Amino acid sequence: MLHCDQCGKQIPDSLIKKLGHPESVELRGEPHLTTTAERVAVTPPRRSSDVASSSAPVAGLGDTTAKSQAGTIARGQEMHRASVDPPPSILGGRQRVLGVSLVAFGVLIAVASAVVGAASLSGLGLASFLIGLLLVYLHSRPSFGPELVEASLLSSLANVERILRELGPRTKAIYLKTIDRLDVPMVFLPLEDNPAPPSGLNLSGEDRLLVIDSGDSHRTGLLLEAPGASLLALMEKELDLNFIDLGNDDFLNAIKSGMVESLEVAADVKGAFTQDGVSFRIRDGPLRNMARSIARLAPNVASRLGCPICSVAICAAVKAIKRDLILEGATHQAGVHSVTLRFSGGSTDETS
Amino acid sequence: MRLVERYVLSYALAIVVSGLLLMIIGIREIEIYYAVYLIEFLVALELVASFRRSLGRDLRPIIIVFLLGFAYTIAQRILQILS
Repeated sequence: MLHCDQCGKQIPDSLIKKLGHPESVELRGEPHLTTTAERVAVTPPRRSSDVASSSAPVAGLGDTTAKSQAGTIARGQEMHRASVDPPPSILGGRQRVLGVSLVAFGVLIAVASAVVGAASLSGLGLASFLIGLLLVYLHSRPSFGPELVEASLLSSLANVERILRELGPRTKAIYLKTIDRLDVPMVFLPLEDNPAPPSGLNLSGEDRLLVIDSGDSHRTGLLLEAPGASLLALMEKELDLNFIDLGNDDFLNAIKSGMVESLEVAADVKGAFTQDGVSFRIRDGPLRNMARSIARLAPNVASRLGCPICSVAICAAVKAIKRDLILEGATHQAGVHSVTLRFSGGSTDETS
Repeated sequence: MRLVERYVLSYALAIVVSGLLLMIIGIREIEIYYAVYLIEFLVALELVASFRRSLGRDLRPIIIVFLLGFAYTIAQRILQILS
């Protein structure tokens, strides 16, 4: 029987089996997790140029070997390249030209009205000048396309996907309630079968990826920052509110405003309280290709933790409701995310 | 359509319509046009900024330029009255 060399607690045998061999377990409170050498050494490290031209097959759900996820992503992006649509924009790259033209047109009209003596025309010249100025100014601000967001996000999610595949948790994720306004929403993924979790896990003091509690198997699992936590922080900043201050009636409207208008990550959000939880139906917006890529390349993340778009709605719900929420299911089909959450402490079986 | 694009389009539409209306009723002072455009700009910005605070912060230089222009027209009018 092994014990954690930091806290001295007993490590469950089932966890050791999941991690491979006892020698592979390093529990020093470090923010990393090691696994068996034979698993890691399936493929040698490759250069990025090799990865880009990789023809590694797309990983499936049951694939438990440590394949090069980067190769999988490169392949996935290659497959997607043909179907990536540019963001619908009326301004696009010609915005600066249009702005400069309007400024020039406005100046010309103003000069012409002064020469001809038609003072009332100068008002329209001024209007043209101001619109042009606004367009030129807005164009000078950096803006990024959804392809860049997708590319910068997929590698991180692929790493989480590998962790989930390696450890193979069969349980459903629990989004932990936040107590303080500044708390980051966390998600707990039990490694043990967890048929009846307590109504409150109380893991707020934990700052480790792998939480082990030999005394309470419910508290043994992975503690991750929710995939949508940063998006939620940005949404709160843009809306100038904190979801912890909102009541049950207000937060659904706030989620819709935030996701559709502020962040523009969704085209529509519908939320509803059910008898024992909350459900969301999110229609994809400009990031539909990213959502599709995540559902295909990181299926465990998408279904067990929720993709970042689903997760931001879940995090907002957890903050507003102030209760732990169990992610019953998160699916992405035909441009629509469907999320079902249940209040923790119910009697339904937790295992999937 | 994105929020910023809606903002620019609605503002452009508002100032073109109000400019035409002012022209039709025979307003000849450019200061009045400017003041109306400035008010419309600030109202439209306030409506949009309730959804996106960062847009209000980003457009602060434009607001300052607009207000400087407005201060210039006011100063000019005061000097005109004094003289």
